[in-house]
Amino acid sequence: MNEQRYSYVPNPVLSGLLGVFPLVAAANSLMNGFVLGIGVALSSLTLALLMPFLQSFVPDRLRTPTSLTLSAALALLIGAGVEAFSPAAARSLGVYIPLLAVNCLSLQTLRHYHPATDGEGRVFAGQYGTGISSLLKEALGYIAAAILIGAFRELLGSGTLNFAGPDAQLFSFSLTDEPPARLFAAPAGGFIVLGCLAALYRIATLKRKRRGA
Amino acid sequence: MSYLGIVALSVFGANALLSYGFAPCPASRLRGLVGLAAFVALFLANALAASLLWALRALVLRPLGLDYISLIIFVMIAIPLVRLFFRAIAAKSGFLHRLSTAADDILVSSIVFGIALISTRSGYSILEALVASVSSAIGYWMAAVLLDALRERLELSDVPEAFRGAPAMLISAGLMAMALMGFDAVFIKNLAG
Repeated sequence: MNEQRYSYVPNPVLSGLLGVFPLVAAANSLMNGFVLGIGVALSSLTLALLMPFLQSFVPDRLRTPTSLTLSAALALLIGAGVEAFSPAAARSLGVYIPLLAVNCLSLQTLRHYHPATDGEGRVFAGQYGTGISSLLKEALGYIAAAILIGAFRELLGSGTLNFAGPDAQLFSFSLTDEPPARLFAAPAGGFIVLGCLAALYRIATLKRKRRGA
Repeated sequence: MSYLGIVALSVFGANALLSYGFAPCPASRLRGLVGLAAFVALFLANALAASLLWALRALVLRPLGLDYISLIIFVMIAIPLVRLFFRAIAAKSGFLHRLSTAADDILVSSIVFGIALISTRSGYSILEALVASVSSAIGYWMAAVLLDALRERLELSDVPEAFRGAPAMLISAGLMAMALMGFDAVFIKNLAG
């Protein structure tokens, strides 16, 4: 029953607009989209894994500040990882890496992810697993949306598509010599691309519902 | 940059909502930030958080070489202090009650975090950081009010089904952001000094 309930998890970005702020402003290339998607997914999944254990020994009053501090520490660690993987992406993302600490997907985990516990704070394994699998689907949806938005914006904003590893360029594609529409690399273009993708996602969801009905 | 330039840049050129995309989480209780209590909460929270982060970085973290953990210190010290301030002025009902309720949601959002980080990393003095954070709150509020008015008009318009609601709002926000793209830092510096 639970598996059926969680078999379809709506995309958090394109249907719920969760965590869109870094995507609108900073996901203007495939690399940035990839880094942001992985960062947000890692942060929220780690929090979801750690929250039940935090619940068992941190008093209620201190739970929010403690989990926020944990979230900030995770953002710092992810920032160090991004700096090591791609210093150019770390520079280009700037303030958006520390802001992973208050990303909506992580905040949603902090606010709403309360797996059932027994009287002594032990986690019921079944419900815990279901919560994690649902969050994993949401996180994968977030990564896919972030990569899609980043790739679209890079293609339209600069006419190229690049993906660089720590030491070398892993992938490079050039669509045009001149940037087709620089607007899409700016936040204004981010809003427009996100709006169009959300509309396409809605069309796909409506078609799916009609087929199911 | 002059104070007038900082205000113009924070309100228009580097608008918190339309240029940085900072917004409260849709999962939070807050529904928009157009109410007066929410605006005052945002205004006070931004001013207090940015000043505290600036003071912590300049007086404690930089002298000790611990600037890289400023985010953790901000979460552990500045946010609880600002929350205490709102709890201290809270009342059981009325405007102060709405103010403290709104502050609870705003404090843990990208608006307060982002504006505090940007205004303290821009090389401003404490007074300039304060002006920048307060102006950013005004810029955010202005954009939120305009988008709310647009939302009301869109609800009454014949929008294709796929674009109804969030997609139409996002595209409208994109068009508003395009209008503000003209107010870049160089233009404002030439205009306001």
